[in-house]
Amino acid sequence: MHRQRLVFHVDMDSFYVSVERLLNPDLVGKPVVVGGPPNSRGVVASASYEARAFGVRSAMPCSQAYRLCPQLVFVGSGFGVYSEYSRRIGDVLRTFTPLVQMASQDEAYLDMSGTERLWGDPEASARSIKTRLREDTGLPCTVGASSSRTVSKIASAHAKPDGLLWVRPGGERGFLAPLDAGRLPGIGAKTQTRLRELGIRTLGDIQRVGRVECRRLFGDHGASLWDRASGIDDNAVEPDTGPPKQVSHETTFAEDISDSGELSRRIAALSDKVASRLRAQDLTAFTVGIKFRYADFETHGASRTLENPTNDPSVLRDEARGLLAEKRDPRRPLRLIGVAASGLVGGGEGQMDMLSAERDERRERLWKAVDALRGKYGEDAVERGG
Amino acid sequence: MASLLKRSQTTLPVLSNLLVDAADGTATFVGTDLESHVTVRVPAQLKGGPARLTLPADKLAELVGLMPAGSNIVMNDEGGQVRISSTANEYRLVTLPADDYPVWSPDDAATTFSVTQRQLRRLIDAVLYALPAKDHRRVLMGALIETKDMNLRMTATDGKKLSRMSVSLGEIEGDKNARCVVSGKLLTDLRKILGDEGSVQVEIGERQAAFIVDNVEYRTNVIEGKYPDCDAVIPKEFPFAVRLNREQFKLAARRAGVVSEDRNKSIILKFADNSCEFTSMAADIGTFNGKVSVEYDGNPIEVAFNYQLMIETLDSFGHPDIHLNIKSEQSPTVLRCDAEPDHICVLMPIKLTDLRPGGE
Repeated sequence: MHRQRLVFHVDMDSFYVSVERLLNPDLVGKPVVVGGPPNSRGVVASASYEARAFGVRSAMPCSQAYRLCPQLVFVGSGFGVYSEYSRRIGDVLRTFTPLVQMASQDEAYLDMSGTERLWGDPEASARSIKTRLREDTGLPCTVGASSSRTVSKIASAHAKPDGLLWVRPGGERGFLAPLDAGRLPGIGAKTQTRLRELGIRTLGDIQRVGRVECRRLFGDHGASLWDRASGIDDNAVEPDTGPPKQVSHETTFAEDISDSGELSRRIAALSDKVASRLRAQDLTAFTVGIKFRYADFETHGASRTLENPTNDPSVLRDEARGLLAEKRDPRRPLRLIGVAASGLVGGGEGQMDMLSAERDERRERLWKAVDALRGKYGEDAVERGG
Repeated sequence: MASLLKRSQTTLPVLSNLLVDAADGTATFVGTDLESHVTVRVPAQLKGGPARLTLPADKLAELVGLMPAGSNIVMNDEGGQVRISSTANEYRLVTLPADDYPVWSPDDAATTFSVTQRQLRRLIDAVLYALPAKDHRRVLMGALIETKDMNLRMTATDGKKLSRMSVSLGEIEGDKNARCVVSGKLLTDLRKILGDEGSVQVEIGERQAAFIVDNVEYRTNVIEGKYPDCDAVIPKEFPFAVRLNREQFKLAARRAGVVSEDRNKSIILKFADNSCEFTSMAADIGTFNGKVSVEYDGNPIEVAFNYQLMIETLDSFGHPDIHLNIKSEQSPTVLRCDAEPDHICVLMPIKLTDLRPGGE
């Protein structure tokens, strides 16, 4: 018997700002952003709805946000606090279904199929989730519910803030049709431009183009574009078990950097931190990636897959440096750089190395000491010299 | 010949060129990448005074290859360019000043010996596959060359596989216990000119090594750094000893490899009752199960390997009758061959969280 699938997308409303308001109720009702300060070079991590009214958006440079809204309050409690709230959100959600996938710190997909007997119809269960989250964490959220991840995500975005929207089975196409094509998650700037050139503005326009034509225009990606624009999305909710998919660290410089020696040093420091987190979870990574952003915000990424998984900072560092040297235009200064490790496997798995035993023993002692210091005094307690 | 001199990876423009030095009835061609120099001397008839100039290596190699076979090539230094001609063809190539060409200052050799071309070729063939393509441990990018007890021993390893072979020498001049690491790139080049006859003069110094084959001289800086202690990682005792036929075994490994995981190309070998069972699995593709007979009557043992490394290792032997000595599923496995007692290979297994496909 075919069981109707039911997927919730639970999205916290301006999560970082909401957490800040819990910690400091004076911020309620004011335009607030997490990020900054205004003269810094960071970007807005989260903006309150009052700030959004001024045109302030996530990922906007803090200086620009300040220009748009001079009375803006800049706050930031550090990510440890947010992680703690994120963990508590996950704990609450898992009391409704074990199939919870945290898509980021402040949003999650829940597979609620077959829970009607327990929690009532989708509207009732979504309401229960909202109430429980508010009671247990003090945070507001919006829930989108439908038969698929894509539609639920669009539904929650549509119903924000503090909302609830259930798109009933069979109603997906009709719900999506009038919405702007850019609302579909995962549509890149390139596809959007191409869609505009073709006169395609809404998801309904995509539906009318037809699947065959979409594939002709955009390749395989086009077929999936049409599917999702029509509310067809079989992607399962993948509960967060096992190791994380990626470990990364990035830094925005106080001043733009073009000196490659200085960039190399920054990469070494980031690689150390990534390696340290990999070791803490007994993971090794097959893939090393970098991210870099030029002064004009143009952002690039690159990655390389290694023959052997590693959590050795010197390997991560060398690969990341190599990638940067290969991909970066040395004439253009950078404002941000990041190092990521993905393709993660358990530290014990994989091709063994007969030579690693002796050096690992030496290094492991060193890293254990470094990790211990970092655990005690914070991530920046130990930095690589020179 | 000119193609041997060709060197890549240059920052100095003149390094894309060969130095040509003509004097006293000899034309000397030199190519360098700064780490090594290759010199080739050929007899030449000289008109006028001695000449010294540089020419683009790749172009020279290409044009010489296109000249009629056996034709005499005439080079005329015309100041700033060189005319190169055979009977009916003529090139004019732009030259760069010879004075800019890096000078090689040779070290004194502490050890000198001679080895047959055939022997040296066998050593290179037997070990070079074990060099890493790339490794941040720079010393591993070369092969360890040692003289000891009147033997010449060569070792290469990337940590996953190791190969070591020795041949006996007739005579060693100077320090009898020489030791140096020579880049795999140089050995690969050298290998191309080694034939069945004749010998190679080898010189080993503190910082440099040289290989002289007839009129060709390779001189290179040795790779500095501490080469790992390989003796320490080669197990001496093995509870599981298998004897196998290489060709059958390779074929089975290749079959299993079809559905191995891309990432580490792992296949699982289970030895029991005079047979080896091969299994493999790739998520989203499928599984394999096959069997070949081997000589083995010990307790069952299961080990996972990268099938490509296994095949490369088996291929490094000059004979198909191979002994596979296993210490445990997570220890270095040693391969030997009766016909080549001075050759030993080590292959590291793959550690799997669960050895069985499907994970049940």
